[in-house]
Amino acid sequence: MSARRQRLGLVFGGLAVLCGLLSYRMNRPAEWLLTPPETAGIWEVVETPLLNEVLQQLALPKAMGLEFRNPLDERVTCQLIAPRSFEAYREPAPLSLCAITAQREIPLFGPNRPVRAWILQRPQTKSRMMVFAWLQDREGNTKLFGTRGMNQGILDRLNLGYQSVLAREAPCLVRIFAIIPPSDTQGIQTRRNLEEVAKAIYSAGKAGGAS
Amino acid sequence: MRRHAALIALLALLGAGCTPSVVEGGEDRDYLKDPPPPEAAAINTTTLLPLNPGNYWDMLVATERSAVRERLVVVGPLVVGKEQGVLLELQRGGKVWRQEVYQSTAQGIRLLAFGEKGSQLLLLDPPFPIAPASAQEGQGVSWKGTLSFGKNAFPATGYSRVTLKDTIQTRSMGRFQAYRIDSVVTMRRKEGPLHFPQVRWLYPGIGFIRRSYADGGLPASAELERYQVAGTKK
Repeated sequence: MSARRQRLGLVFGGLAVLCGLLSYRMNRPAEWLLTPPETAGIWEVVETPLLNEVLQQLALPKAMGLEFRNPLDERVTCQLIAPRSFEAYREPAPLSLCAITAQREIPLFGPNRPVRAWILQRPQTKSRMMVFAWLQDREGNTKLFGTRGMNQGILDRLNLGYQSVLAREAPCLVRIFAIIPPSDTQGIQTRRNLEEVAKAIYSAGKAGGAS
Repeated sequence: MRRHAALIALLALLGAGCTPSVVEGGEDRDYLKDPPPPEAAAINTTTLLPLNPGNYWDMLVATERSAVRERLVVVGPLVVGKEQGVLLELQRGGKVWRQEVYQSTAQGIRLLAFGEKGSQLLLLDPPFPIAPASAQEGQGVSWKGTLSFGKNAFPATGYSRVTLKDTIQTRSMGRFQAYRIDSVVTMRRKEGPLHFPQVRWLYPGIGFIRRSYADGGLPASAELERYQVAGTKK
């Protein structure tokens, strides 16, 4: 009996240490946001802070909102988030209110440097959005995270916890998205726009920007 | 020992499960297909925008408020600044409501001037190249110059992008794989920028298939109903 208690004690003790380590490792460097580019080719960058409601959904992380606009008034919205907690990985409204109608992994920045790409459809209007998201560290390594942030459940949480404990530095979460206009019937121009903006953000972040 | 083995297996599973995988596919998966490498194409700009005097295109224009018919007529040569172009009049109910001056040469299509409702033409200096003779899919051209009318001149910028194949389904004329030219001229005034956007869908041998632009600040879309180009009437 006492041996069993000892073992249980060890297990609970181990879990407590793991939880403590996890909290410490997740909180430790979670103030880093990559520095976005000031311009990106034909794109001008306008700072558009995230709404308070959005920040509250994400448990108030350090964050930055940007809008990339090109001369043809095509826009790409960008969210940079320093994920301090599991909640920061959530996909905020209005994106989370849309249905995912397609997704894939794209090695956009080179082999083993992927982004996750989604198509979202708004329930009423059936209009579509294209979303790219990835986690990026100062060295330019990228990783994926759960499909809809933390809405997917325990496996995503385990995954993030595991990565946070192992990671030397906390990454910056980058999410960019744009509405696919009806005239862009195949979404080719929207994809091109997202890729241009993503590459500009990636390069600026890789250059070592910190804030 | 067995318990340890189970624990190790569980940890290994956890580790393996920690690489998030993306379940690929979905009803809209075509939107995420890798596009083919950008094509480059030599454009015969003189057939893409045939500017022989007498050519016309009858278009049905839909705005948020109404639907009207307009005719685009090639009037003839016009000297604008130091350049010679061809005047195109846009008529509604037989009256000219807008004018545009183009140059369509082996080098490409350039916009020299435009203006609305009898006011003076806005001159672009240098001319704004809206479509080069050799275009690459999705590639844009930036322009910087002045926009002037009478004695007033404003700094201006422009941008134009060619999409080589855009499928257009028209009500009266059928389906086309047209060239799509998105362009905008921006007048940089003290009061703030003033934008003149326009999208032109052009088809070789015919010219205008569709246009979308701002009509009095409201979006308008014009679609080809019939045309006469170099003696061919349809």
